[in-house]
Amino acid sequence: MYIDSDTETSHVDWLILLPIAGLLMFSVAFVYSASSTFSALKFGSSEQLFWNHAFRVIIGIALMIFVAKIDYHFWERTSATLLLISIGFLLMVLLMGQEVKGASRWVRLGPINFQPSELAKFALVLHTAVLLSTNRLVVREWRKGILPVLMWAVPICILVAIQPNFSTASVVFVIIMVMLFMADVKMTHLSLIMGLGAIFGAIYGVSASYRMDRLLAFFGSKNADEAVKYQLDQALIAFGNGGITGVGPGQSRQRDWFLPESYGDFIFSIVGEEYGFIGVSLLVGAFVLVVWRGFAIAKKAPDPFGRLLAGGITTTLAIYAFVNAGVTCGLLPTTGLPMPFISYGGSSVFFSTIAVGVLLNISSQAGVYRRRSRKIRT
Amino acid sequence: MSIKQPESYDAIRWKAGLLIFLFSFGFSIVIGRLFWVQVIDGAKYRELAKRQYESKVELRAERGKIYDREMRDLASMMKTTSFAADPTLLQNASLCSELLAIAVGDPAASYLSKIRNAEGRFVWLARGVNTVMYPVLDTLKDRGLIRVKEPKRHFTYGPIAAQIIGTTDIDNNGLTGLELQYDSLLRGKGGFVVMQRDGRGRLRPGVDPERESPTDGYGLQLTIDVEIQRIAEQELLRGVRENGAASGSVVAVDPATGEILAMASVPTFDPNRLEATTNDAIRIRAITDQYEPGSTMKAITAAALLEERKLAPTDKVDGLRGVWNIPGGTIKDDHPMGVGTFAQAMEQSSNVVFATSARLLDDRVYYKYVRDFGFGIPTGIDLPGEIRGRLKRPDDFDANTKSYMAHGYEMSATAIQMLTAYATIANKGVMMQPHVVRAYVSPSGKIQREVPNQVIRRVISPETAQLLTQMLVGVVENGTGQAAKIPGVSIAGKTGTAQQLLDGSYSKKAYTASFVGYFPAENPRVAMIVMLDRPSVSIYGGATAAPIFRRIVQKTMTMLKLDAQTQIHIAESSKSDSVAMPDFRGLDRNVAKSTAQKLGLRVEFDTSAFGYVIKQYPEIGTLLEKGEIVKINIQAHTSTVHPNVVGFPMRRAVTVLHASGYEVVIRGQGHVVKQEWAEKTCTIYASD
Repeated sequence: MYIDSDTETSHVDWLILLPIAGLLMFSVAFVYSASSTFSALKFGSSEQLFWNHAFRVIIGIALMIFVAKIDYHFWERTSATLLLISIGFLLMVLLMGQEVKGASRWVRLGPINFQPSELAKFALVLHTAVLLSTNRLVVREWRKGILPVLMWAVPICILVAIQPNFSTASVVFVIIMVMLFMADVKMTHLSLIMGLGAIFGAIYGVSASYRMDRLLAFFGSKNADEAVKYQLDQALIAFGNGGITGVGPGQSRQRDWFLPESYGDFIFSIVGEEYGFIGVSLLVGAFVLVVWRGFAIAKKAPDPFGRLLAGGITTTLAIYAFVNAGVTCGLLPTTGLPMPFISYGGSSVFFSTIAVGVLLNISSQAGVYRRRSRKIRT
Repeated sequence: MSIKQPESYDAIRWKAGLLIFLFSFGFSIVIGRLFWVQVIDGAKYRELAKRQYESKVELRAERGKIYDREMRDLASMMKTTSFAADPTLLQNASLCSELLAIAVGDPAASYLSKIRNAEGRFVWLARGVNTVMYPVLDTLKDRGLIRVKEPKRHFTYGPIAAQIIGTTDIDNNGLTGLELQYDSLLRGKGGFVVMQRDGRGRLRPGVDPERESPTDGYGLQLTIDVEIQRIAEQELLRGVRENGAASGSVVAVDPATGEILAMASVPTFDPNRLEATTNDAIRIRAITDQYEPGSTMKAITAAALLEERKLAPTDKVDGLRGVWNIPGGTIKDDHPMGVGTFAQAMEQSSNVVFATSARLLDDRVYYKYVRDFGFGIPTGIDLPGEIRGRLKRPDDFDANTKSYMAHGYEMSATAIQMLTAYATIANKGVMMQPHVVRAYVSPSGKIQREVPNQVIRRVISPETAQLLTQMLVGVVENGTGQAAKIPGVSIAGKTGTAQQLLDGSYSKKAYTASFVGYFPAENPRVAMIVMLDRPSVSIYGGATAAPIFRRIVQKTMTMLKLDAQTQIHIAESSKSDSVAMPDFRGLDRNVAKSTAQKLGLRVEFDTSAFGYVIKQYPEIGTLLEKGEIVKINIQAHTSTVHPNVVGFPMRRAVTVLHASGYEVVIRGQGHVVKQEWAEKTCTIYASD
């Protein structure tokens, strides 16, 4: 019933692949500059984190190409398993995770540390697409259509939230909401869930002092945690100092112990400092392009599963990029979300590239390339 | 083949479109925000960035050096390092301690205990260490050893001229003396360099940094000759000790130029160890302390009388046998004088003659001379803290004021004022500005600008000065100043012995003894004042201050620009001044005293009792100069203690023992080596 031509499946969606590849390539340069000072003190070599990241980017690209070759229906069969595995990891993290800055978000797997929440997020998007496409005829019913999704999504959000990683949990929640929206659930149902989620989130949001501090810092309170306020001030100084054209590649000063997490969650500021308004505009532009293509693929995907999966993946990437950019420039309260493809960090790079691989596969099966598909359709 | 469209196809179209729109909208808000931060508000953030990246580091100007007149370094900057430790990071505490021990001299254990007992992460180990000889201290790698470079003022000659040079605080600001007087000149002007700073406060130089180089301070060449100064200080200290004085001053000046050659104050201090110093020692007494001058004032009175032609040196004057009753008091003389010449009155320092003669002058005329000689006004010497002294205005004179002022009471003066007055007489009536800075020296050590010698005013005519000088030579040749006499050298001078005014009445115990003079009288090269505050062995300026004057002249003659003949005379006089300490042991008190006086030595007894000399100091044969004090212990006739006569010549031992009431048995000849007691009999054994 689907497109059967071999030539079509080998189609590459360059408008997705090019901006993603570009972001990944540039991220190596960004991370190198942003991490060099930290790396030099911590590891005795200013290139240590650069090599780590470059290695991960290469693996990530390989993963992306590999996944792009897998028919995305493969995930229809494996999503439940992946989700169960990720729940297992989330429980592991709670019991024996590595504590970093007051939160247990990491688990050690042999030689690598990885963040189960990233896997859980990916698996949940896959499985939600599976559930909503399978139950597409009953999605307008609360019990048959929506409840099965919530039965997976709510426990996972709670497990992530109590790590504690409230920002990831709420972002995951929003992604699921968007997917429900795309799946034609009743607007009254959706509003109800979002309302409940918002109330629950608000209670949880103010229940821990560090989250309160971040919020207060965002609203400019004097009682705000100095460290949080300092980080945001330094991020803005980085942007401002970059001006229109930036101080030049590798010329960042904010990475010299002024801006904490300069190579991680706040790398976008360093990009702004080194490449200026022009640079960050191009970077945001690349994401807009990806978002546009992602939803175009969702529109053209050959089946409901493909549509929801493409939409879910695109939403994930878009929300992460938007929230991260919004945090670093002071539009949103400080959270611990990385910028996909750009920030230093293995889990983020790997799951983002895998997700793009899936997207590319859907794209290759979708009628995105109109002229060709028209030819085929007739 | 056609593809079946899903039911929700239309829905997904608009929903995807809506989501694209929403996300694009979100991203455009981000872009808008970034435009605001980076472009519109950019300048503000760039300013904040600059402020946190740049750090203005002060560049110190090097403080100017102070040289003596022969360009010897008196004060310069020494590069020192202060060491502290962070005990939590210190890796090799024992090595650091041992190295510091070598460089500083304290035992290594003291540093180790400082490190061990440290509370917190910072403890000073040693401040201001000169590491030039121990470069390993500067290169030793240990994260726990903290080094702070601190340039420190170093005074090459330590206590020599310490009061004049002055002191600086820890930041090298001038506090006293020339360091204070010329602080702005010595200090120079600091500069800065803009350093780049990272988020942890570490600094590194930027590319082409903004910089303003410091301008090093100017140096000073002094008129002081450190060798003359050294001798003046040594002799003054000796004089103060021997005469049991509380303090003293010596100032020497070149009368023709006003250049101060030496300016000594006792007690003194070591400016390199300021922490152990009292305020008392830092004062330049010659300019900060005033005293009623006493008889030295007579030269000024004489100058007025001669210049006004009221008296000539050969005129007859009446000393009234040493007592003159005036309303409200009596003026007396120590050496009563009958009718004699005015010159003799000067030699004998007759208070009565000067008190009566002063009445020949009108109040205003007398005041004018005293004032013109510089009393009652600061000399304006380039040192901080000078006082003006006290001088009554003619309107405040009462009937006796002139008579008292004529011999140095009812007024007060500083040593520098009195010296400047005598230097004026020496310089044939022309007063020169006394000063201690000879030239300004560039940071590279070149003389930049010489300070010109300044004439203040002519006070008396050359003829009057000439007559006065002859009178003053007479004082040293025949009068009260004979202790300053050096055969072959004509020294003009005057002694002063003034009762101190304590709590409003003149003390019978506290005196100021002084001698001020100049030489060679024909062509004076040096004028010098010696002042002792409250001498206790003798109160007289002639007995206490004059010998100090003489000794300084003898010892500094090669440094003074004197003609060869004068130098030879001085050299001969110093030779003949030496005398070997005799053996007084066993001599009667009075015999010992007269023997000592014949040799020109002064004797200090431990007791006023009569008896025989049992002990003496210094050792027999020690070379002494005339006027030195020797100490002698007396075995009193009434003493019940067995006299120890070991070492005595046999005959004198017998005398002492007999005098103490013992029978004596003699064994051998020569000096006593052993003595044995049995009841009232003493057996003495001799070496031969």
